[in-house]
Amino acid sequence: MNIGNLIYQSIHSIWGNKIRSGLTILGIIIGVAAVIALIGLGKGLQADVQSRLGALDASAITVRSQDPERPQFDRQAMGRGVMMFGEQADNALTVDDYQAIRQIEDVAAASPEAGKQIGVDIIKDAQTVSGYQVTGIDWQYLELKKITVVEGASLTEQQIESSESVALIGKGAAKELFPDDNTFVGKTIYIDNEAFEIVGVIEGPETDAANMPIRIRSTDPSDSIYIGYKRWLELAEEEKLPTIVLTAIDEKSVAAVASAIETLLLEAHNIDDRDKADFGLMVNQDILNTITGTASSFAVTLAWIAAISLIVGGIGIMNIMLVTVTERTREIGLRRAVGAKTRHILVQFLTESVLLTLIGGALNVVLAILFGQYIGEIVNFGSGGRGFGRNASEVKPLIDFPTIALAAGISVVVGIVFGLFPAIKAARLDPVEALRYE
Amino acid sequence: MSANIIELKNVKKTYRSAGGATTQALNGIDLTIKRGDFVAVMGPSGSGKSSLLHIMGLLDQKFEGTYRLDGENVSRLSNDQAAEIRGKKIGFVFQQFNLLRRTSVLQNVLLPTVYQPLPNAEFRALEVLKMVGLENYIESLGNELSGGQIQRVAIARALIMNPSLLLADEPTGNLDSKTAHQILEILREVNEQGTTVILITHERELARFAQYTIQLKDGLVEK
Ligand SMILES: Nc1ncnc2c1ncn2[C@@H]1O[C@H](COP(=O)(O)OP(=O)(O)OP(=O)(O)O)[C@@H](O)[C@H]1O
Ligand SMILES: [Mg+2]
Repeated sequence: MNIGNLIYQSIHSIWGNKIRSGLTILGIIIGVAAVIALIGLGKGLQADVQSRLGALDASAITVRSQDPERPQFDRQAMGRGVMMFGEQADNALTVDDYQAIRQIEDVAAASPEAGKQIGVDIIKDAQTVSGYQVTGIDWQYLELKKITVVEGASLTEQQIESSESVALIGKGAAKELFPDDNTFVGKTIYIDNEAFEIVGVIEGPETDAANMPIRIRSTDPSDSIYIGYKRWLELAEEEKLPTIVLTAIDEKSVAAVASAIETLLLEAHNIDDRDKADFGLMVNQDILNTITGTASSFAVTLAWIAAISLIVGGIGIMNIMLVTVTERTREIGLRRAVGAKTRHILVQFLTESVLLTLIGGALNVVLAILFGQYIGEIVNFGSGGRGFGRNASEVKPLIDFPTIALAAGISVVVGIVFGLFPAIKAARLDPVEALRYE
Repeated sequence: MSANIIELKNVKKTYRSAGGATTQALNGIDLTIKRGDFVAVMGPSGSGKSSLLHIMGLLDQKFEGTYRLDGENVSRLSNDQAAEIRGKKIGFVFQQFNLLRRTSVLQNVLLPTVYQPLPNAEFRALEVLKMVGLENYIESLGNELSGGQIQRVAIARALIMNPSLLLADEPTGNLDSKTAHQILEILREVNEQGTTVILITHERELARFAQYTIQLKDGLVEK
């Protein structure tokens, strides 16, 4: 009994019952389509989340002043990217705290991030001034935030230590303030009516602002102005810093660094109860783990839903094969009479069910290639929706070779698993009984 | 090669229905059939003719007693061993449902060659189809033929492997007497070419085509 003959027989029988076979195949198409689409979607979603989080440095830690009465304020607000506008806790971090944090083992780089909306103009005592985010930083800040200098140079340690009136300006802010110019280094700006010399023009990392859920103009480095943190304390008439940002030397040391900072600050601020702390730690790693964990458990849920629809399709196959076996009982008897062994009958019916599911799987791949692009839009709850991928291009199901191989593999497995019972039933028929079957 | 193609000794067949009731279909058959014989089996309905044919054709292995086919003891075979011998040595013609519907005459005749290899199978198929006079119908489908044509295709299929034994269970039961005679003529021709033919029939008139008749009654051979 050769394979060509087997396949010929199976196609013959499938073709002989076009409507029934078609409906069964439809069940498999839906099942396998659900698997491909939902697994693809899950992957796409994870890829999207990963690319969005790519800018988030897993070894970064942010230390933020916090109102002990509203302890979760920071993290939740940060998550929504609105902390700059929220009610702000009193600044609680001293320059000594900052220097001490710098000394902690395994801290790679650290800087204050002391931002405030301040009026800025290019002439002194202007009638109307626009507010800009003016942030006090230390010399490692640009490296920490992946900000690049596009003209001039960054602030030196020396300039920061001696509170010099020098500033870095974001490209966007520079263009706004000096619409007619192309170079800005050497120009003077007045921050709260105090003269600062521009020493460098900077630009934030590409993806960062563009992909933020809500674009916050004032926190975009390109629209901000940076000065030394000591100079900032004078200008803002503050004693303490609101925020310190830092990175650990690698992702593994993040936890140790974070707990060292906590111990250090609790002691420095004379606080016994960590629930009453006037600072909060935001560890990127935790956030990353939570988000990627959510994304992957979502993907697993999708896979389960897909599996269920596949099982339903498989039951359809089993049902139809059982009907086929019953209908063809006499044929089975005849085949046995002319020399077919039990395994011949088994293989014949298995081939038929596998072929049914394979046809379903193949049609699926075709459909997936044709319509796969629309699935992204469905996830967005329609075009212009507020789903996971606000741009349809962002969450697109990945229909790649492994997915196609998966579809084929799943089809074969479903065909075998759900075709096995009917095939065994056919093979076990007694030849005499089968021939007598009415 | 044994001179007797079939030797049955004290063969008994008991059917057990699901309810536990038993029917003794064969009560101890002793029967010898020589190679090349053309035998008619007759007897009232329920006398055990079909039961006997199923045992002789190795379709039914669940019987008591001994059965030697071609000198070989075939009383205790596995399903697959029986299938192997059926395919090579035995051809069947049943009363009805002999062909696969929607399948061509040629493919129907070739059916046994799906399970056991036969060199030049198509050539041999044409040969046996010619013998039954259907060489012009090879592409017709099983469900496009008359009753007589169907039985002729069934004979061709039974002959394709060149079996030593052809078993026919009321092959003309659904045919008019003229057509039945045509079929019997073919069977006689088959027998003349050396195949042992065992024919179950109800009609005395048709039994005359055979060399001799075995009468069954209540599961026993009537002497
Ligand atoms: N599968 C079965 N289960 C139970 N009893 C059976 C079965 N097959 C046959 N019998 C019984 O065995 C006996 C012999 O049946 P068999 O079919 O061999 O008779 P037959 O001579 O071929 O009759 P007919 O001329 O009507 O075809 C009958 O009493 C029948 O009822
Ligand atoms: Mg009978």
